[in-house]
Amino acid sequence: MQSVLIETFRRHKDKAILVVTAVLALNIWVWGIIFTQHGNSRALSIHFLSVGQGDSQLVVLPSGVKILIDGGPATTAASENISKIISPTDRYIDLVMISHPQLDHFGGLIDVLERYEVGAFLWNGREGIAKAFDELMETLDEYNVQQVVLHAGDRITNDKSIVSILSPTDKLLISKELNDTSIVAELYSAGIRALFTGDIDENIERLVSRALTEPIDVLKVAHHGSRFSSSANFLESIQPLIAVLEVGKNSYGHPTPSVISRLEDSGAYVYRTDIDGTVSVIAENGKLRVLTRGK
Amino acid sequence: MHSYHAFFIGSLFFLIGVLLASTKQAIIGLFIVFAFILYSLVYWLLSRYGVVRRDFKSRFFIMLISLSLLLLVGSLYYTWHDMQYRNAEIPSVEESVFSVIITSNPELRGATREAIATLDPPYNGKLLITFQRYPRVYYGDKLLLTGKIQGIDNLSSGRFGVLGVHGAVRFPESVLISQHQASTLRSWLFGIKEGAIETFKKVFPPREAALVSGLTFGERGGFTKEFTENMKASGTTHLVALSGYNITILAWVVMSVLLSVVSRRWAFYGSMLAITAFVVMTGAEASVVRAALMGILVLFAREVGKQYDMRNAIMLTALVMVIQNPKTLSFDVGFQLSFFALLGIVYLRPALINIFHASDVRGLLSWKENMFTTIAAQLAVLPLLLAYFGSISIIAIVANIIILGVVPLTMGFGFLAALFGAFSNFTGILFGIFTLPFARFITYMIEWFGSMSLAFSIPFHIVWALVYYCCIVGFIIYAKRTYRNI
Repeated sequence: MQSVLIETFRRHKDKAILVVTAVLALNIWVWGIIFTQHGNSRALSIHFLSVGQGDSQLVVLPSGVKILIDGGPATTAASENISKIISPTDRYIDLVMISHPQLDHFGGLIDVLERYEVGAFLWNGREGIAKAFDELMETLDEYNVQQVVLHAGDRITNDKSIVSILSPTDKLLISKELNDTSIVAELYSAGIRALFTGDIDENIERLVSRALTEPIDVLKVAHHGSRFSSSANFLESIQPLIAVLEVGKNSYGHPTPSVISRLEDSGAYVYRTDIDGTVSVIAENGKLRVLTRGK
Repeated sequence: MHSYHAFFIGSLFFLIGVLLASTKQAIIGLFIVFAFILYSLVYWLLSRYGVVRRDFKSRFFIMLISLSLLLLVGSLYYTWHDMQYRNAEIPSVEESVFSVIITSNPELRGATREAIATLDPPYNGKLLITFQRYPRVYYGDKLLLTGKIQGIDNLSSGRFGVLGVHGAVRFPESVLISQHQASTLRSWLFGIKEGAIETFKKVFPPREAALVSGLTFGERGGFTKEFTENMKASGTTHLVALSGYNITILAWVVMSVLLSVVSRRWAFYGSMLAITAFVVMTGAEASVVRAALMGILVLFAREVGKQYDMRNAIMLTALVMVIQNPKTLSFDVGFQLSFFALLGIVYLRPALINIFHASDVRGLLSWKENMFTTIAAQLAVLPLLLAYFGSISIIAIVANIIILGVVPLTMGFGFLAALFGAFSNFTGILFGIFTLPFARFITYMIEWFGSMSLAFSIPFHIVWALVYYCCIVGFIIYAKRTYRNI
């Protein structure tokens, strides 16, 4: 069988030339995509990735900068979702941030680091206890990814977009409860405001709402819809337009019905990744669009 | 009787002996042996008294005795090997602490990692260990584990016998003691494979990366559950099981690259080396060992110039593998599928081509050749598929014909991407971009056909399987007799 294959190749040199031409043509096509890709859209898109029980959001700023906040649990779900959103030839993620070092938030990042080149890794400086966290740190060192520690008061600016870090404070950073150390980030871009809350509870929500001056358009619901978060007072003060729950099969009862009714009472459009799949919020020219991929 | 016939029949009876011992059908074996001996004795007695001719008998008599002896030897060999296998001392307490060395390249399976490990003294034996995905374990790691071992008696020993493990542990607590405690050569080879897979991950989107890793190295850990289901439903799982295809493409790539720099003889040695390295690199699964042995035999025959008898080559390959581990014959599904598919391609395919008067024209992207190969292989393994998986996919034939045309190109470019990726990330990515459209095509086809879900569940019964194979053999004989140019 092997000899037949080799003989066949020698006999069909013309076909081989045809194949090479085809491959060349495909190349022109692919590279064409790459070069016409830049500066196509001036829209802000926030994608709440369906990664099962865990958090992961991909933010693409109008300038094209990509920020990945959390990577979901230790599966390839985050990478799979990302590959469906950005071009297959785009292998770069500018910033990867973890809200706090729990496995359902950073587990999928090791896989992301293996597939994509990452500009910088942002975290709160608090080390996780899971062995997988050591693995994450080793992988970051292996790929020489720059690490930046963020605290309340820090800011990231890009073009006209601003990411303000509202938590954790120095006091919260040393809390016994890892959830309290969650980085809370407010994004202002393309005229809208989004709040990424990690796994904070109602106490920290109270602190955060004091730091906010404007209502929030897009809210990533804290702690997968746990009843200890998303208090009525908090929701009343931020008045979210769109609220997204990142949740999958779990034994904690997330999202609790009380939280869902609180969200609905606040007047927000509620989405959940276990039912709606990956939820994409796109802001362009002062308009907000929500796309769901469905399960 | 010619030596090659003798070899074939002798080996066949040895294998039947092994089979009977493994299925504990000693009675049948004894019956056959007894029948042979009785027949020979009767014949000898009759010839002594001039009732039948004498000269014909002695060779026949010797043959029957030899065959029954070989059958016995086969059974005894299996029994002896099994006894050795069960002679392991594994920790038998509920929860125990023990140290192991990882002696297989850990395989990723979704959210877990599986590896075979050898127990350190005071124990001996091998264990199949399931770890969490992170932290990663590597070949050669020496670990101190705390966990509960399930011995072979508690588990269906089929798979464990094939793997040669004496127990299984799930999610033990583990502490790394040291690394690189196993073969440096194998470590290096595994490193090459893992490096190639890392290149694929950097170059392709996850689904295509998993596909190319599967096509080139038989790596199945990267597939999502949905994609695995789609492959099963479209009858394309075998594409990512290592087989003759991989060996053929690899040998072709290596030969082509080497022939441009060294002589034919050295290119041949290089190919043999590459094939052997490839087998080690991919974990020496039954299907790839079979293909590699056959591949080496073919290359060898061509170089030495001797005529190549397909039937004996297949038999020799089977013999080598069964002698290495007798449990392979009855319990290794991959082994069975691989051999039956091969037999189908070697014997049934020419019969089909003749019956349908198909000419030598290959058609666009070899679709006609692929069609006959696919149909022959599918027909040959049908009862096995029903027995093990309970259902067969009708769409499989169409899906395979469409996809197989593109597979060699994808595999070839995949190997090149891996090869050049070793030198520089950029060249690896370059070849990767060539490969992407083909890989995309394949994944789309698999998902499209998989979503059609036209699988048939048919209850399996061994009698029907035997009748089925008799019909196939009959068909092959008929086609041979009628057309005489196989």
